[in-house]
Amino acid sequence: MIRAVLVTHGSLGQSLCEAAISVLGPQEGVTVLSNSGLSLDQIQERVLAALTTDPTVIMVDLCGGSPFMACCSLTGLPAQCAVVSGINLPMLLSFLTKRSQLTLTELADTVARDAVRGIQSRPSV
Amino acid sequence: MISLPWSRKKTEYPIVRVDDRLLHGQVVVGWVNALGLDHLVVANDRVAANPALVAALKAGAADGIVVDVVLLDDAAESFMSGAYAKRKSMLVLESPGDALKLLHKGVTLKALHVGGLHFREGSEELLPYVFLSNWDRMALSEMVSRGVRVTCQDLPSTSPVVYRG
Repeated sequence: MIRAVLVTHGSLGQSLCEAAISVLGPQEGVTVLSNSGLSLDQIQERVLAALTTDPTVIMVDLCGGSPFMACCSLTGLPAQCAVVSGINLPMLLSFLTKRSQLTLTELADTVARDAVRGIQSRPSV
Repeated sequence: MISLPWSRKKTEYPIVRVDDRLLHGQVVVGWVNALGLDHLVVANDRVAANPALVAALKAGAADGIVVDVVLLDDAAESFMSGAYAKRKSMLVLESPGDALKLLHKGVTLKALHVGGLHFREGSEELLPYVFLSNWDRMALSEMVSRGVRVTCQDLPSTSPVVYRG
């Protein structure tokens, strides 16, 4: 099974997970981490501790934020990993519903596309 | 609200910041927007030698913001040539020790802004976002004694705290 590690600012990852569970029910293989009060090295230590030998999509909130920086420069990974930034609820739901049908690389691209598709502007409602 | 230690005078560039996370949300979103920065320079030998990290740093900035990742020696040279004073530049260093190295290389630093130093083994809390090792204290104190105005401030909205050494 492809696993997910969410690394976000504050409690965003936890809240996104709770929201996803309210839509899809309980899920396996998702670990949530926050960057609060952590240095880049400490974020990396926690991400590495959360990884298993299963392929993993690491989802971070802000491109350019410390979770992104830490995850883009990980070394000594125990499994194949992809990093995707800009996590939102559509991305997480896409991951949870499509992870059993795709390879890691396909899944990373797909969740990024689905996250963007979830953003629609209706300026004159 | 934005509290800037230098708000009464015209802001002088580059702003020099010590932050062990280098570029991250507080910088690329918070400070860039508060001050209208258009140039971020990360001066760090270890990071400059890591292509994956350089690519990540460059990917993290918004359109229109130039990100340079350079060796500390090269940063000192560019600083002294005036290249960082021509635009709204922020120079980001990993530690007070690196800031002191710039001084030793001949850079005239008027102000240093300590944005974030996380807890490490042997460090002590000065502020919730600033933990100083003995070496950090020595470096900051030497800079203060050389006339550098050292202030701590993580976010544009937090009040700057002057470090007196």
